Amino acid sequence: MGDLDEDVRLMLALREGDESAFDALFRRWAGPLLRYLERMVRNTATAEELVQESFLRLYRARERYQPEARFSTWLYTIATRLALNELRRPRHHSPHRSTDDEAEGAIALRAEQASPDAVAHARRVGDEVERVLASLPERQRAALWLTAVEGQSYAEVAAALDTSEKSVKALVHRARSALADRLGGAER
Amino acid sequence: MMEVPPGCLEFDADLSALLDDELEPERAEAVRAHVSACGRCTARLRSLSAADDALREIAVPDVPDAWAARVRAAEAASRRAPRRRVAPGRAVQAAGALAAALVALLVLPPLLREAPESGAPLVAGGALEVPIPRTVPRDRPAPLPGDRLRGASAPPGFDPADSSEQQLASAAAMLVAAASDEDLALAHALAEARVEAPSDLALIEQLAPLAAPEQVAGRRGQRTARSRELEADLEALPPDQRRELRAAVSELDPGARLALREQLLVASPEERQRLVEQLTRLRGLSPDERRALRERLGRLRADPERLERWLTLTPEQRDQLRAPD
Repeated sequence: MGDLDEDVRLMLALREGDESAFDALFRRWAGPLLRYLERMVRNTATAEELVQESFLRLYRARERYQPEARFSTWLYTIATRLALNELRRPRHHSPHRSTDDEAEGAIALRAEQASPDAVAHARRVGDEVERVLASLPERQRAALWLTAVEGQSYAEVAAALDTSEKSVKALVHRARSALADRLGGAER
Repeated sequence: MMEVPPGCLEFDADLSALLDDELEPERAEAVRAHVSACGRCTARLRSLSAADDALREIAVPDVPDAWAARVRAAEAASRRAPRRRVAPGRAVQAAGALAAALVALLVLPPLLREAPESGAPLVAGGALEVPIPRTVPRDRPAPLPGDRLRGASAPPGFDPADSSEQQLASAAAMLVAAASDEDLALAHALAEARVEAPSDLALIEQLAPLAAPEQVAGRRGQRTARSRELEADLEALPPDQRRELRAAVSELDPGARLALREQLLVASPEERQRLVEQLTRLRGLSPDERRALRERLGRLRADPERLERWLTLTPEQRDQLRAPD
């Protein structure tokens, strides 16, 4: 996780009218948020739009910001709700190829310094991760990502998903187990 | 899920929470004690942790800094026009008149005070006797994007005074969402043929070879270049407007959607305007009139070369053709 105090400082500066603080927050968080939303909605164009909409809502709510919750928790809660709403729309469509293509590109890029075997392995594991994520129910996907990648507590995730901590525990357990089972298979 | 041995069952469900540091201290202690004595659960904990590592390995994509400025601009503009939910980004040529017209024609029909001039042909002297109303009948419900809005009144924040590209996109999405698939297909065909009025169809049918083949080829190239520019225009729309537009299009059947994606998402503002105008006019036609149009168009489509030649004409050339002798 980034420097928490820095996020709070920027958000308070934005609340006081410092517009450059918004740009700084955007630079810090838009990339990670896009990475999350791409996995949530499985469509790059929609994910990009949701990133902008999340920040738009954050910007609009800047005057009400209270540094009680972590900034990232607040931002991801907005984004998660937008993503779940988007997925509930009847017109939401199946995966956009570019997400997979880009994921593949990212894996290739990360692995480019490594040996051919390592490249192949990274690609295989990366592909499998994307496949498992795509196959998970959306709330499991959100719960696992927010916990494992963003380091949020079950209480924070429960607030974002509008559910109980107990339910988050079960969601994370099921999602992580499914991923571990499938990756165990990919390793072999 | 792999088989869990009976002795591990009571701990297995807590391994994930142990990783997340979400167990009560006493429970965490008990689970740790079991794991340290159990090869299976040690391996399981490791594989759960490896799953997290694999997720964190997914690369963070680059996001252009310009998006931040776009978000701020959208918010600043929405403050200037407080009735709109999201404000205009980049204004695109030719959008204003259309947006205003659409608002007048479709979104706020109950507010229209003058009687619609229905029946007045747009082009005098046309060979096809199809009366084209200049406006949609007043009793037609205001069309809006999506099921949830269909048949309702104008969406909250829709500002008839705002003639920006966003209003155009939004109005186009509303119109498209309310049109029948048949209408869309016909409007698309008419727009594709650059038919400004149904009477143009008769002109095309009579069209002699007016343009050289190289002109036809050149025009195709121009269309490709313009499509690229317009993707950028679409990019400049605020996110929720763009999404609304995409969503309205995605609700159509695949054939109509393909046609509309071409026209609304890729086409130039002028092309989009033409499509929307065609739709507007079609909505005022009777079923018989539509059938007549479709038949005539069907004949023309069997002769694509003639259509291509029509497309190469300049507006002035078309006006000359339309002008009664």
